[in-house]
Amino acid sequence: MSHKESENSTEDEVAGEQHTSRRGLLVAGAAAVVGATAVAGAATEAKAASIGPGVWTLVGSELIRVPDVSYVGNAELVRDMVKVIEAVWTEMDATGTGGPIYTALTSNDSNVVNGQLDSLIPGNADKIAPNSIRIITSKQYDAGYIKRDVEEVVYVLPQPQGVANSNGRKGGTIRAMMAAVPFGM
Amino acid sequence: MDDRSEWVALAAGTVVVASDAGNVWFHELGNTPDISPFSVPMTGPGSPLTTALLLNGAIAQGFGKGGCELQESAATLPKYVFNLVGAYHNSRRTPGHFRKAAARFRDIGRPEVSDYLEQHAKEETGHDRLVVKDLRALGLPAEHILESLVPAGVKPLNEYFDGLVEDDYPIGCIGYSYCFESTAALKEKADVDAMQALCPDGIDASRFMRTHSAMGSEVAHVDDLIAFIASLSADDRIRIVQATYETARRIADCLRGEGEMTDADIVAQLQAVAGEPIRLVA
Repeated sequence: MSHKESENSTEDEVAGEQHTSRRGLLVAGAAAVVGATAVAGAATEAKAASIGPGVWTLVGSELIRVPDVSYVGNAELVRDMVKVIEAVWTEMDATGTGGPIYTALTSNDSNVVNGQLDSLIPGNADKIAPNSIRIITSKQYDAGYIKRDVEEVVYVLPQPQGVANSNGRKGGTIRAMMAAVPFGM
Repeated sequence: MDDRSEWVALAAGTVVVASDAGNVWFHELGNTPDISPFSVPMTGPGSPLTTALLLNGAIAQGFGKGGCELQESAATLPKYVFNLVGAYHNSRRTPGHFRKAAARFRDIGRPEVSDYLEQHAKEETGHDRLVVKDLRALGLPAEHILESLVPAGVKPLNEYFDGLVEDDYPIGCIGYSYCFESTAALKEKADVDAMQALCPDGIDASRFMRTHSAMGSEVAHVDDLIAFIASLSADDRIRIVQATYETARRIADCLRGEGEMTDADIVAQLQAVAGEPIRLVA
């Protein structure tokens, strides 16, 4: 997970592009709101429930939607994110719910989050600025998440929709369906 | 955890994700629009394990979410014959299509793909004749039927195959092939015996099915295909997996449509093209 990807984001983007096209992907609200007067810690997720999907920040007394930042072409970041997501998904497959990895990644304690990221992504300590990471679930994103700190970089954990068995054939259903059909090449 | 993950966005916004721990997941991009890392096409190398998971995940998705939209329908001799007719039109195309694609890859400087397709074309040559022999064994006017009847559900598959090969970059034909070879390799001896049991005593009408089952060469073909596909670039693997998904979707549509046909419907179609009464009983 690389930190440099947020360099393209500017205060103008944050203030003026509430409906930024979200081509690209990945990191919601990664923009650091340089110089803005956000009130760190003043907002809560409960308040965010009615504001709509996305990551929001308080600027003065107004909530501003932070653009989701595009990272097209950054294969290194994508690979790192995939490692993190797969760790959570694998854990969920095993436990049926969020286990230690999930809990650590979605912790409010940035030291805990960074510690977990370091364990999942070798060398991560060199890339991520401490105290700026916040990882939320897609449910939190859909409900609207308000940044607690202007420096906060927010990542969203996607949800898998279903899991196939180890050979990807869903328990032999396809075999059963094709058993009586003499198709082939 | 290393980074040998693979993922491919299929049509309809679903991404199939495979990890080298042997897991495969399906992820709807719509869940977190445009901010999922899986929105970005993969760029890393493939591996036989994760590439196979992707391909088989694509087939599972193509056959229907949850894998159970299609129900098995009772096997009958008319249905078996109808499927054989469909299989003929697919099999008949394969050698020529692969040679055409091979020539294209030779032209654009991809000799490894060209060589593979040429080899595959050789291996598939003559398989359509097995259908002719099976139909003749059942006392059917094979040539008349095969010349005049293309089952409605098979037409979209044929057209899709034709389109893949006409493409300037016909790599998708490998995904089409994988879908057929892989699903054929799932058939076991018991499945072939069950179909053979539908035929009158003493008549061997399962040549094609035997060849295109785990009893024949399909398992080796599938292993070969997976190793070959895994060695290709990420862009190629993406196109191949997408073609595999589209092929599975069309096969599922085909089976769904044929599942609604009665034996009487099928016999009527066969008689119409054969120009003579058709009797299909065990």
